[in-house]
Amino acid sequence: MFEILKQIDYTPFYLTLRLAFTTTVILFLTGLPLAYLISYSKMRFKSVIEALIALPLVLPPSVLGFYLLLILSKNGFLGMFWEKSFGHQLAFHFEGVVIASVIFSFPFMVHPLLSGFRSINKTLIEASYTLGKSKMDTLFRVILPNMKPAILTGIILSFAHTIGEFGVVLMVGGSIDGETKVVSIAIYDAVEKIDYTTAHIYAAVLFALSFFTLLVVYMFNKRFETGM
Amino acid sequence: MNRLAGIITHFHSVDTMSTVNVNTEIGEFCCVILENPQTATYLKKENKVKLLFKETNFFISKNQIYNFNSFRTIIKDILLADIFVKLAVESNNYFFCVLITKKEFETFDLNLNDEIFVYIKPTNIILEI
Amino acid sequence: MIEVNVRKELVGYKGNFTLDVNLKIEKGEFLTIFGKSGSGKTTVLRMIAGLLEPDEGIIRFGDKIYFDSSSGINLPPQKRSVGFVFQNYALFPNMTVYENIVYAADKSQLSKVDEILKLVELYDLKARYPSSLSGGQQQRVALVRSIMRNPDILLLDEPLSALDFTIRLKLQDEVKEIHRRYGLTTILVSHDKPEVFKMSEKVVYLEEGKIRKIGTPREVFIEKNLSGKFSFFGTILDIRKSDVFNIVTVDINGNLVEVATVEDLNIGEEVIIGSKAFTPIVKRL
Repeated sequence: MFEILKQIDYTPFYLTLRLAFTTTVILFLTGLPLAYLISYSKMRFKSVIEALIALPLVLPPSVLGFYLLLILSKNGFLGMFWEKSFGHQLAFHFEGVVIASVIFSFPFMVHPLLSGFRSINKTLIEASYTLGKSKMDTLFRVILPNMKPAILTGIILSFAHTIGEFGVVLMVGGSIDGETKVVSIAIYDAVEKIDYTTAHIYAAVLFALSFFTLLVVYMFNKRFETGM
Repeated sequence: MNRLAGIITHFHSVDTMSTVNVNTEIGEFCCVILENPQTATYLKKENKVKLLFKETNFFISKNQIYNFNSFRTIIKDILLADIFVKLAVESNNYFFCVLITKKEFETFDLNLNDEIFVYIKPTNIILEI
Repeated sequence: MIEVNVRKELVGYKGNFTLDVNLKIEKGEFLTIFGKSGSGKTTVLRMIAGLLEPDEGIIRFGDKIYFDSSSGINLPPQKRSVGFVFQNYALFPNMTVYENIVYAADKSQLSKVDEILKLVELYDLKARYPSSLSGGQQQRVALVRSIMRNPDILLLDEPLSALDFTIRLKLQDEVKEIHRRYGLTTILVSHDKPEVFKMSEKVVYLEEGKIRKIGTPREVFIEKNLSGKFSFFGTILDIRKSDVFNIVTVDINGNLVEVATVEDLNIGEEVIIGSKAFTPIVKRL
């Protein structure tokens, strides 16, 4: 048993976690201002933006992957720009997969944040303003602390969703060892090669990981609900 | 509630109490209020006010007993209930609702188109602005 | 002196109407804005605080212009020096009583916070979170928080309407005391006539966005209408037919009375019950 475990290549796990971590950080930093803007400004094209954000929920990963591949490859505008600046195209590289993951997981970060912002009673914000506090102060000291469950949900869901993603990564990144071969793709590869032992181990670890992340979300949310 | 518009013609105040004379189209009325010109801004000569008469506060008689706060009316409608009788009376084209007990009604033997005099005490008239 | 002269189109539940209010408030005055719900009274308060922009008009405190549509001035709430107390208290759930108040205070005032907390009997609760306080305690915290910045104007938006009767009476006294002690200029929005009588020297009666009456509570609610000194505001609880009468049960501030009348009335209506002051009898208990 231990022999087998020792033989397994753990690079896909490292890659998966690195991808999920990077994606989640980028998602949080971009999703937060966006959700804040959508919730509190009187933008005219709000519905258009909301529809765009929700699009990955309904599109097949292959559709999204296909378009992303066009944009990120060395002939696409983003891929071309990247190649000029960093010496390699985005498609079939880790950075490309990160971009694809960010776009694909966007609703999983933005939707919880949106409902978090909407759950904040407007009078709390108004009270803070009448107490002389700026919008920034109000955001960081009143709004965000009172939507911790939503923030946590957004982070964990994005993280878990990125870990579990398959189609888009395959389309954009392919299956390159140490660069884009994450666990979900490694499982697929192993099955193709009829190496069921490796597939089993990868799958079981992924299963457990996903289950525990979700368990943590629900346990934490419960504590927030009762603890405040 | 019976309402009758009028104009203040005269008033006399002692401390915070005043008697007020109000001229209306069916005669002059005198009423007493717990106000004086300082406490009630409407208390001025020539000011328009409305008199309120509660339906149960009227005294009725066949002949005129009082020569103030009293007016001649014709009974236009009678509605009999168990304890009270509701009369609609008319005076100079003004209609009033008068509620009297059956006892009073039977004592005076009232009929449609009878002439009756209606009287109201000065302490029973409410002013409305 | 505070001048508020504003207009705004509003959407009410009975259709659109124009809010058109012009009033002046002297420094140190305690003014009430009275009206039914949907009359625009809270809207006026929110405009003064800068939480809502009028279509046109001017709002100024002495020489300081808060809003002027003709010159395009519209100060944000942060720059207006107002204290605002909300009906739902609006305490920050993530902060303790102490933190809620410190949030509003300048650094120089930090030493004062404990003293003020002791004054309003909140010191023992300073480490508690708002959700563990009663409504009355929460509103007291909100009140203290709103005056921490020494505002020019204190705006109270039906602050006591969610509290039960006895707590309300106690807090009415406290609000008056705070108004007096800190020499504030206060505007209270209320739909409770007894509260208006108790709290303010001057009341503005708002109806469908227009000022219908302005004056002392007596002038606005009693003298201009009926000469009956013996008159009360009440709510009709029940109507029974009896003989030629409607026997109406009326709640006058918690006292139930019955009146025989021939008026056509509806249950739930607000009424004035009056009699000539010469009619009631007075008997020693």
